[in-house]
Amino acid sequence: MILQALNSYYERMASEPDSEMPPLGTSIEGISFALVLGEDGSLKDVEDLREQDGRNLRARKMPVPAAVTRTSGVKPNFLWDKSSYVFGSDGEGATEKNRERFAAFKGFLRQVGAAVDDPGLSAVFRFLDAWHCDEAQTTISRFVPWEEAANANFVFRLDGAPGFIHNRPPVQKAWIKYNQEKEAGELVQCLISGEADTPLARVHTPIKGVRGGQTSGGYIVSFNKPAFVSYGQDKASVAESSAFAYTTALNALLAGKSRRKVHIGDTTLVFWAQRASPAEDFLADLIEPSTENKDTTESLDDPQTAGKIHGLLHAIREGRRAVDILPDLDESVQFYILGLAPNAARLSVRFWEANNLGALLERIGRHFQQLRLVRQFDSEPEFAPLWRLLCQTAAQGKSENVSPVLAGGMTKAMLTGGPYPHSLLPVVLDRIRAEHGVTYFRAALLKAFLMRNHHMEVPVSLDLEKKDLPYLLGRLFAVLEKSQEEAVPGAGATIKDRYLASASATPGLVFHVLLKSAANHVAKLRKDPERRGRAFHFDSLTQDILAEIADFPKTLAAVEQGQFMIGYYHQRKDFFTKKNQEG
Amino acid sequence: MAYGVKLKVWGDYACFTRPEMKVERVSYDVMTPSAARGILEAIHWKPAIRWVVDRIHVLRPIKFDNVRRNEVSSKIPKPNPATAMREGKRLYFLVDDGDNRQQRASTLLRDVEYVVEAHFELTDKAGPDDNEGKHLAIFNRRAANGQFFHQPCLGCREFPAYFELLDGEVPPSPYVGKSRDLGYMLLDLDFTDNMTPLFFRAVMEDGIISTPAPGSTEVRT
Repeated sequence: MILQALNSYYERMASEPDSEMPPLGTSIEGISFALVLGEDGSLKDVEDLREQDGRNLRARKMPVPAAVTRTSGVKPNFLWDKSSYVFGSDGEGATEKNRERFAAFKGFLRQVGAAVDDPGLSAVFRFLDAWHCDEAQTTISRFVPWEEAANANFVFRLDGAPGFIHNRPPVQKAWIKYNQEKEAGELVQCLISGEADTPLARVHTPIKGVRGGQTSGGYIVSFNKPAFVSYGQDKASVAESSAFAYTTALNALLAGKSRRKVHIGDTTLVFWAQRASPAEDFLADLIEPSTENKDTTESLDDPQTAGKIHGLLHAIREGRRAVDILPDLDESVQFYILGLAPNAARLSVRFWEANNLGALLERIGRHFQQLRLVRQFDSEPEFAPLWRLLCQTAAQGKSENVSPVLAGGMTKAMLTGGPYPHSLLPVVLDRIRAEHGVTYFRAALLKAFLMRNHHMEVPVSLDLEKKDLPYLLGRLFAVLEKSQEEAVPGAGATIKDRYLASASATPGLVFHVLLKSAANHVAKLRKDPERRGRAFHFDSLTQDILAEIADFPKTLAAVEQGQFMIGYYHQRKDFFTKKNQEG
Repeated sequence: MAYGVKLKVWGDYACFTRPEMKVERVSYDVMTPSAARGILEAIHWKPAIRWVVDRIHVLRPIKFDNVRRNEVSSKIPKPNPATAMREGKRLYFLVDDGDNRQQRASTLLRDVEYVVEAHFELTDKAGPDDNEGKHLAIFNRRAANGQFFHQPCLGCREFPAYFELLDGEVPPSPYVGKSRDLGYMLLDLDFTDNMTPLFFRAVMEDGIISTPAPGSTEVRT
């Protein structure tokens, strides 16, 4: 499933003309310089291949003969490598180890290219034969600063000929031939392609670009401890060609500027479609919609796209079809979403979802529809990004305090349409209790949770007809708080700070105390002729709500506390809305 | 299928680990034939018979879940129990050792229910006393009584399987009328050939996965 889908993504991309998917036997590596050689092997120039990226120069990503997996020991690459291999010298000078590397590099070149008759390759041979490792620094620093060259990767170019030497057809042919003849591994049935008698991939290319993972990359397929082995099979039956395809595809999806990945918590999501689809380009924005007032987003610097996505979000939230907004969207295309999280040198699959695009958009729409709540301030985003929501569940609102399990569960719920994680409700209630604050995000989370996990009807804004006891209690609490605020302006600690937690958990114990003090507050208001109207207003509101409450329950369960908070939020929001209208 | 049996199995969790992702475990979408064989063998197995799984019916929607657990990275080395036995020493294996501890994540299945249709064949270890009727009767009696040699499990030992002998019709699957390609799936291990894994192309039609006969060409392609 996962690897199969990645395999077919590779095949799809490789068949597209400008996809830059490297063919088998090559890999994309960051190369900084090209050594320009004369036919006699003399070093004519060192060409800087680096690209400007902001203020920094970055190595250019280009296809080169596939990199070996270097864990330990000396293993050279073909016709490209680090300076320690190409020159036998690096920042530490021409050490014994570096000389050994240089010798290996030269030897490997001879081994692969022995029978090749190509002026480019001969030039490289002559160059390497005449090279002195000790003079590397002086020779190279004539062209580029040694500090920059010492850790960089190099390729070769023949002076006066276009392209690099490793791309010359006879050299390429030799490399492919070498790869085919390479000590044929065990023959197995590949569990990705199903092909029988294919050479087994001994080591899979590491996957780079998963946030939090090791920079050298992590492995999806690996067996590095005895407990990970079943039946003594210490490797999965994956053919070399399939292993190359899936790792290349995944690395491309995770590459630096890829628009097909999103980070949520410790999970990195990548997504792709079976066939080319515009959705691949904007799904990131759907999962993490950026808002107009969010200052800089790389992805949405184009206001037109932003508007389109906002329109799309509106449409899918209202249950309309995305095709109405984007006519070139094919809803039947199969869509894959893969969530990866690093775990030591390995990658774990947090999340996997394969579905058609229409169903996926419908679920995202449902998520936003259930989250939909009247906003406390207009500056708050209409489509709350998942990550900002999750920060509201963490201590101090810091993203590093968000539980990764919760983050993963929320993403999954959003994309699969399944229930929200059970821990969401207690976590949000805890935060409300700890901070005495029912924010827009928290109330929206509670609303979505109650609707999805408990199939409750929760209104978007204040609903005077709603007679659920916890909801009424929440509203009552907001009324009592407001009357206190108006009667005792600037009080240090309001009843919200003191009683919000206990009123929601044990209303039977708290509310009669609150009602008693509220009577004082209203009485105080009534004495002031200017505010007599407000006193009546609060009185009648309290009476209206109390009329529906037969008795204060001793305790409220967690779900009821959630309703309480929403009632409180709605009523409180309602006070401010009215005020704004009057003003 | 004269000697066929139908067994309903279900459980809260299941993890039919994919061989390629077995460190950070990821389950197959449905039960594998070898897992089904394991359940049957837990109830009744003798060297004289060999279970062959014919069909697996999926009775509940496929649902994935994630858990993260603290596990260990090593097995008890084989000589340890042997020396412990021989010298009458205590066998001890330090599990809560920082070097040995490994936190591993699993993507597993929740709330599964399957019907396994299988039959058995007599092997060349079958003696004169063995006949199909006898073993079928033993299996049916044991399954009906809920007896087993060891707790049957759904892919991993920690996910027990509940089972029940099914007579009559197989309940309808939520996947009736749908077809789903599950990719290449582990069929079983070839224990006669150095434990080579065998794969087959699993396709779920109407919620039913039919397994190819062992040795048939389908096993390969």
